[in-house]
Amino acid sequence: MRWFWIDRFTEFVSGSHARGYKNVTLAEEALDEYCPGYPMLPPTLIIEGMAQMGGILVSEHFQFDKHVVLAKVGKAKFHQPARNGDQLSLAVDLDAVQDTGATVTCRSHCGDQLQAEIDLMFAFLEDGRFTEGPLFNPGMLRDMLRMMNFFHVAVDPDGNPVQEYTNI
Amino acid sequence: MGLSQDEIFEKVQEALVDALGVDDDEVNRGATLVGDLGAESIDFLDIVFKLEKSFDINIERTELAPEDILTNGEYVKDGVVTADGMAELKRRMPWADMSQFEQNPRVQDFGNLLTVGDLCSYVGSKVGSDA
Amino acid sequence: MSSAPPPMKYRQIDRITSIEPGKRLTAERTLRADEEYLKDHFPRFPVMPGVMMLEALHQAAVWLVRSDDEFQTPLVLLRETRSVKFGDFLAPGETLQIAVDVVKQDGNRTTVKAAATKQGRVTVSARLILERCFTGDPEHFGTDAKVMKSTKQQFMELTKQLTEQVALSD
Repeated sequence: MRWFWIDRFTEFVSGSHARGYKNVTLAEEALDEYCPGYPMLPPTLIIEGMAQMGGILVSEHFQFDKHVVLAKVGKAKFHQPARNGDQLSLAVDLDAVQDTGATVTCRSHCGDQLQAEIDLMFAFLEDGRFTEGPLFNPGMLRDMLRMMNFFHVAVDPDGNPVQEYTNI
Repeated sequence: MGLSQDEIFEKVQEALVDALGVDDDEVNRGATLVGDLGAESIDFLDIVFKLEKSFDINIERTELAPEDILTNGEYVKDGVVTADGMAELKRRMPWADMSQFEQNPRVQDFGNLLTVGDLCSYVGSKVGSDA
Repeated sequence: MSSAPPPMKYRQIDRITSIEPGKRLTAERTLRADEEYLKDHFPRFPVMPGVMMLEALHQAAVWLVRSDDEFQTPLVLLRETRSVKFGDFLAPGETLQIAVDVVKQDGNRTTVKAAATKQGRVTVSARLILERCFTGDPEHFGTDAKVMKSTKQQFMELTKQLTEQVALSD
């Protein structure tokens, strides 16, 4: 099982917001016998999808120079379960930024139905506090972002493609 | 056009209930954030975000958590805040009641200084209270 | 005699260690070094993702609600989470002790407070609101019946050790 809980970025404006998709499929391990007879995506993995999208939004705002980790889920509401065959439209907006962390607000829709609303708080880990150096091997984060179409859509607030990141 | 003391208290109470997962009735003015309400350092960041949003103000986290003073060798000796250090703390946090802390100003005790009432005073100083 | 049901792949509880239906449930989860997603989270610092620890709390809460319901309702859906806070990391080889307590029952909604600890340190704490409900499928599809039967079998697997212990001590 890979730990990717978003499939694609459709929009990304540095320092502002991100939009994308997560497809829910029967072939996913996470659905296998999770609710036997009525397969659904574990709701905590929807939180993770938002955390990945939000984490990237926050991290890119700092040129991927900070260790961004999920510290709190402020609130999460699930209006309906995510079923096999659903495509979740994810929307994450950067809310506030401080020197040691940031908050984002997130929504997921299935078609035009509001599926979930989630608020997240990230903290920036000081280097050396839990681990030395980067969390990812060189190029790995870049490969992941490329797969998700990040570079196809990511722009700065002026609408220009984001800079070439050599540190990820 | 400021907010009344009660309005400030209610919003601060809401922020603390959300951030700390405590009940309304635990959040009274005399309750200490760390000792009584169980706030940890990650919670202070959360409280800052919530107060900023609730009151539409800008907060420097170090106004509530002056680690830079408490870890400065000029202001702290053998785990005790010096006279200069106390002056700095009071300058940074004029709205906080430091009288009890001042009697035995050990750095390790500082975390438990802040009460809900102090937080209300802090917010009041930023928004302009009517009271 | 029916054979053991296939395991839930995304199972985040190794075993239930104690249960007071409608009140409290405790469980355990040990992180194994060979769990595949660790290669992504993170390659240089393998730790259990925070939401996975939260899922352990969630699953424990679901079993607590189901046990009180005697498996009469097929679905126990997570409706809300509140005050979810992540504390310490969990590294491979370490074990979470999970404890869930019912705080409030309100019709078909149950509020619980839950926490996971390792060596007494809290790694995640949360308040969860769960709702018992039906799938909404027509009865002749058999969906509700299938879910109820299968989740009951899963529960028996998870509490097998508990009942064996009780039997031995009799």
